[in-house]
Amino acid sequence: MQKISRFLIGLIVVFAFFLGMPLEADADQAQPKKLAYLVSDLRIPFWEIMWRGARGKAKELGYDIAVYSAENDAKTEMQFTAQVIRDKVDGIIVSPTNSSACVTILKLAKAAGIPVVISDIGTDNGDYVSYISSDNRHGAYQLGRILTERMLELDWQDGRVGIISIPQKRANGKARTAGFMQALDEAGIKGAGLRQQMTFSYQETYDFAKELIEANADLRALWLQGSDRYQGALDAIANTGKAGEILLITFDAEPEFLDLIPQGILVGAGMQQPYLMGETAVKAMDEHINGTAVDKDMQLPILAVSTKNIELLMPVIKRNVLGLETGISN
Amino acid sequence: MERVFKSLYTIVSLVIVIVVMSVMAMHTAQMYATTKTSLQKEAQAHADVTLSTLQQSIAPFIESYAANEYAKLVRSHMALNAIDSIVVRDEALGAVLGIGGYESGFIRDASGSVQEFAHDNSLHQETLKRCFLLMSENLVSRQTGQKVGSIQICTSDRFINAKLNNLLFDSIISALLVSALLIFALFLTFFFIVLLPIRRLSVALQITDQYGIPQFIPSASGPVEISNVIKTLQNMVATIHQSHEQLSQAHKQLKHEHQRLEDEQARFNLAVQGSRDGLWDWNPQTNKVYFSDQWKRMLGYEPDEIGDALDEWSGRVHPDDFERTMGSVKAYLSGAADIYEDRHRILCKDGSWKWILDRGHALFDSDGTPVRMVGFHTDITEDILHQEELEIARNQAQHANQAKSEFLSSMSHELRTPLNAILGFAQLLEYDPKNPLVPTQRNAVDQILQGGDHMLQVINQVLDLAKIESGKVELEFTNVSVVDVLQDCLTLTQPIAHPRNIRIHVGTGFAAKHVLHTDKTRFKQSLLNLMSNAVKYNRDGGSVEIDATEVSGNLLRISVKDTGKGISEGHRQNLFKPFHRLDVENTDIEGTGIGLTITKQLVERMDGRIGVESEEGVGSIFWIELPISEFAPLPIEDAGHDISAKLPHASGIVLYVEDNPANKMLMEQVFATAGGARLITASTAEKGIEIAKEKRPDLILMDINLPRMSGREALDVLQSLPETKHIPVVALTANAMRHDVDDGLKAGFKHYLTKPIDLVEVINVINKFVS
Repeated sequence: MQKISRFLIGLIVVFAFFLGMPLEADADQAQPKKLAYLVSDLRIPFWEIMWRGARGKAKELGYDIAVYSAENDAKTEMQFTAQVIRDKVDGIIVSPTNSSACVTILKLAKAAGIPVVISDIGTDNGDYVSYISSDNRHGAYQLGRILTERMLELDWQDGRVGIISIPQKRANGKARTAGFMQALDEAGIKGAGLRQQMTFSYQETYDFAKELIEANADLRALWLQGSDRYQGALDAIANTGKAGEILLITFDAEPEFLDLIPQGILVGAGMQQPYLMGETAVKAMDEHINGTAVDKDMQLPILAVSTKNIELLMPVIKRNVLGLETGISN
Repeated sequence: MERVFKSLYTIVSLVIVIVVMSVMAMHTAQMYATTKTSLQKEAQAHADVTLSTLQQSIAPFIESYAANEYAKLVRSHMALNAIDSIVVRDEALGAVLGIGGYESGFIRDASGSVQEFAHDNSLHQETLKRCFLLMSENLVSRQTGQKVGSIQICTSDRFINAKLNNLLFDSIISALLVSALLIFALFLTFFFIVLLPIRRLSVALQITDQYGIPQFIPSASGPVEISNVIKTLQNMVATIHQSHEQLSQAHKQLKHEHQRLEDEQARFNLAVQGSRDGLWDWNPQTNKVYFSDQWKRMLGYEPDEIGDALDEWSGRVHPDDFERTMGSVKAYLSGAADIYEDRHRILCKDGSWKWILDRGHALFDSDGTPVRMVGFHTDITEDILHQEELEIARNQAQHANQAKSEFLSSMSHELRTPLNAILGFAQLLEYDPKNPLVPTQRNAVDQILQGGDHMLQVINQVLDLAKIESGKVELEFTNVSVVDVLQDCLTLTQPIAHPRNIRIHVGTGFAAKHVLHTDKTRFKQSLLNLMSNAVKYNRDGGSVEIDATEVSGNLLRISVKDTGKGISEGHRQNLFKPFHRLDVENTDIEGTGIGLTITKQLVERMDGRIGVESEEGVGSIFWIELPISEFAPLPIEDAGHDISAKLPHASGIVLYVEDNPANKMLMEQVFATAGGARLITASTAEKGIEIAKEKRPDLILMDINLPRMSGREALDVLQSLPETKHIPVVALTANAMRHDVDDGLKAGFKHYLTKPIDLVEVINVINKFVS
């Protein structure tokens, strides 16, 4: 009798032990996974919109996500990287200061066993889950098409197009220029030179624009690969008396482009969709964490917005490009 | 196999291969060692450069937290295969990461691939431990000067070894190729320059004839040394062929000689047997002697009765002959005598003695020691007996000859002595200017002189014949002028030809150059005999022609042709026999009949010939042939016959030693007629010596045949006395033989006058010594 009792008691204990495990799992499952978004500089609207996209998706998928802005400082970026590794996040989404720095981040994350998704900029090498980028080439190509169509409409097919670019060392820079030039070639319109921006300041933009205008009497258009100092280009056109004679088209977008494009002040703009990129990055991470295969390379289209299609694309612009009307605030 | 390794080809090939391979191996090893050292130094230098470069480049990246940038830089330097790992310790990033130093870098794995360095990788740590060269430096900020990290470079010798292995492989391949080329080149060179000529020579030398003599030697080609060898071989083969030929000839000769020797041996044996001589063969060292059977039988013994000991012979030698015989043997063996020949007596078995002619010949070794002596015994007993008989006969002949000579000498002397008086007084009568002769007296004196001369000629001829027959004629060969002798003979012949009106003609064949190598006196005698016969046996009013002709054999033929009655064939056969005169019964021509006999014998003694041709009723030609001399004749001393010569008017004294009263009287008359010197006479030699000692004459005329002491003995005495030895002594004697004259002159006579004297000659001789 006593033996039976002891047996029953032991059985109950064992049963309870095993019952406890699911409890632990449940307990674990009750804690959301943590993600970290390492970004080069949140002060730049592009990255800020991307952050809101990532945050929104993370929240939707039940992740905790924190943002670490390096403010374009390599050391800070490393410090944040070390920190998130120490915090043992479940995943890192990174928009590095540069592709070289990304290598170190990937290396450290790999050593810590933390998966990484890269959102824009890219990396020179290293292991990552997925790389989310804009299709800069195709986007620039479409942008070039918009410009060349407009120039043809204006019978400016003999005119030239000057380019004020982002550093061509960057992969996105090369891609944009290649796509754009393809469109020019197809239209038979010649380029008028390229100026690479270093400081991305207004003055720099103004000076480059003025140089190109003065150097090329047949200049009919300027393409600004970066968008935030578009005013410098416009001022240069105006100050050189070329207002109305030289078109301006940009890559990337500012909120005011929603007005400038319909007005024709800007021929068009190639708009990345940072918000969508953020969302896509988190989604890829989630899929990876859940064991789903993820595309190594995801290129999101760039919206080639012109006067003709801005209205049509407005909702998408507002959401994916500007991160507006998403219900997700800063 | 052994033959293979003895082949020159194999040896040369092996040597070339071994040498070349050894040289290349040493070269490769040396190059390997040198290259390794060089590579190590190069790696060291590269590491130094890399470290220095990275040291300057990485710090800024560290400061800007661009780990990937310095990683790329480091990765780029890893391209230098000499560097095995570069590890950077980033203290800045390490500080950020809270790990002290962030180590990153690259390392080469075992396969040489570059991979990222992991500090916790044990293999990576092992690699670092095996570093050949581990260099590290601090990374210092240029701005702050603070250390921001460090860099470590590891260089292993893997690259060096890999490179060396490659190099070794390449070197081995190159060395093998070069070796192959060298071996090929050397072998080809050696083949064509040395081996091929030697092979050709070797093949050629194997082509031999039945005697193994090479038949063909290739032409000399190739290097000088091989060419010289080939030329030497050619000469050698030629010499061998020649020697072989000579050997063959020599073999044939030897065979022939052997056959000849066998024949000689057989002949010798037969000869020995036939000669009945005994052979002996003595070994001086063992003293054993081989005696032939004949040797033994010669002494009456059977072959087995005599052994081989030396005393079988020496013990039988006659005691009287023993010492001399042994002396002869010793003398020959010692070299004192050139030959061994001895005659001695040997005891025969029957007790008799045989005379043996013992002759032998010895063989000597290099030290001069006799090792063998072989000889013959010849029985000369009969020869000895004959010899003794001959000796007796010879002695008898000598005695007879001596008696004959003495008779002749005595006869000559006995005849000459009275003839001296006859002719001497006749000459005095003829030459006495104080008492000139009337014609009838003169005629009578002439007859006396002619008769006396004739008698003297007969005496001389008889003596000449005797001398010739006894072989005592001595000829004195000189170069004689033919013309001079002819002139003398003409002078002597004219007086007998003129009264009968016989003309003597001398032909043109005579020349002054004709000189004969002959005895002048006997040549003159011979020619005079022919010429006088040609006159004597001529007809009145006839002629005599004398001519000379050179004939073959370097002879001069002098012919004397007369116009006499000629000589019949039958008489010609006896012409030259003594005492045979032609038609002696029907002629009144005087003669002894021995003139031609003497002439023939004299001419033949003078190496000449004599002959006659005759035709009855026409005449005869007598000729003699004598050898012509190539030299000129000796000058003839003019004896001078001044009949009116007188003794000088000096106070000289002449001593005449003469035992014959007539001769003494004659000389007194001569001195009385001639006048001048004073004549003292002595009848004996002893008296003459006394007078000579007392009177000290200026000249002594000495007869030789004197009673008791002879003139020769007196001469010796006079020459030995101090008071007389300076006095010249002249012989005046009837001993007129040639040897008498020679002996006299040798004895010391200053001159030799023979009887019968010629007054003129005597006076001239006296004048010569007294003046």
